[in-house]
Amino acid sequence: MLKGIYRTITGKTVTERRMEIVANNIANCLTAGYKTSRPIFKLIDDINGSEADKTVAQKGNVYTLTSFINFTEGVLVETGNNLDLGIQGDGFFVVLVNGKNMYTRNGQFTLNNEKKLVTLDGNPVMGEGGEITIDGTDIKIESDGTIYVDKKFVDKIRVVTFQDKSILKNYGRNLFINTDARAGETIPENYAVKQGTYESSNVDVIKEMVEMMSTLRAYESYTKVDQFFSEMMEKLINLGRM
Amino acid sequence: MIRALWTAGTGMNVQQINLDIIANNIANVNTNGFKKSRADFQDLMYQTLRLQGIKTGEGNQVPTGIEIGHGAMLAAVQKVFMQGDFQETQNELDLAIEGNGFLTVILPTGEKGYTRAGSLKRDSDGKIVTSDGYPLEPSITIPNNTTSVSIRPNGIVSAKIAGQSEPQQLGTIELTIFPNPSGLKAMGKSIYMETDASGSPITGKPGENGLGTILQGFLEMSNVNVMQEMINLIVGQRAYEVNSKAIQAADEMLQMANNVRR
Repeated sequence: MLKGIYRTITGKTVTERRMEIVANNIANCLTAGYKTSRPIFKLIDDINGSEADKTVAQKGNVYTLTSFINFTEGVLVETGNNLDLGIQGDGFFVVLVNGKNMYTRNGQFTLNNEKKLVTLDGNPVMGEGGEITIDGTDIKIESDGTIYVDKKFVDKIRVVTFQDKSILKNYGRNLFINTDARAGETIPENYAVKQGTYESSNVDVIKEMVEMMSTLRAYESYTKVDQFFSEMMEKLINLGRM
Repeated sequence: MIRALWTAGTGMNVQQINLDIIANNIANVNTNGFKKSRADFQDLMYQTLRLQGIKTGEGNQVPTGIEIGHGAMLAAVQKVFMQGDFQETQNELDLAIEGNGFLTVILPTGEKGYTRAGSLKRDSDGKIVTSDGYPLEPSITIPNNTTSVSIRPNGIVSAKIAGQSEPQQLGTIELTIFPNPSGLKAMGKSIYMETDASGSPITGKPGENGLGTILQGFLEMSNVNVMQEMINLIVGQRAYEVNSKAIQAADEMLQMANNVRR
């Protein structure tokens, strides 16, 4: 009897996490360069670990959850702003944050007071030769990321990718960080930098709505089961009173 | 559970600001020299419940961790300094800037302001001023008995004065550019002011060093594209709506949890 109640508790916890992830996707449905997070459900029995490590409650079909980031491409939005950059295909822009490389798909860049190319947070965007200084008015960025200012070559924007993107972790502020030091940056094979566009969020609102509805109903089912258990126990207890 | 409520709340919050900015753009669709603004968003920080890459009990790696985001926030409201369309007015003191640059004016506080609204007038002393009466810097005065004023693309202002055969040169209108015009502070009344982010002003003659040229008898219209703003409005409103649905769903879940014990 009690075991069953534990199962619904963990199930409800998982459903709450799922709802939180969906809510975050929805809140970011217009955030440039945002990538959808998805929860994954697992049986505890699938998880590696000795039988003795598992608690009594875990031995049942209790679910745990992991999340992964869906790196599919978002739509490129035309703006005509010559410092808005979108990557078509695989790859990330490299941004220097506190001396550490971070990665972003949000190409809404601007210049700072030293004429350096920076993100909206003021973190420098890296080129092949380090930070990029743009001194001029006629800015042309080719599809391979080469920057020409007033028809003179300046630098090439660094675009990198990873063999296994699951090592990337959300940092917030449209940035991703690499969590596995052994996994190095590689140069993507197919990419094109599009000047005058930026990549919108890849959140599919319809999908999120469906996800939200199913989450809500799953939660409802768990509470119904709880009520059922509660009623059964109530009956048992009352039995003793007779 | 409460987290989902707050997360969707931040989403509604940013969309509300987004609509504020779109509304301001639309309100200024006919304001000369107006430059549209754009709201840019970011995701908020993440709470990591389990880090990917760590070792499990048996020495295997956790392939993906659990991270829960906290919603969205406003990253920046950027002015988009794209050229607006030109409108012919044939008014001799209307001027449009073709290319980069701002006119410099002296504000009543004595500080310098920068504007692209070129509907200039003359005041009682003959000084060239903006519609709000702010004089141009460097100051140019038009003599009383002037019959016509001509402003050349390179900014040289000359006047034809009654009784004189040769036009008289009055001065030069200078233009100013900034390393980062998006960093300028919008003061309203089409005036921008220098900030630490914009960098120091670089002043020069029109047509030189990347500065634009001056077009007499034209005005630069607002660079707001109504169609684009309407689409942004629809998208923004729907995003607001879907966030409110997420709040409702989270609220319903909370209600169910509260009703387990009757």
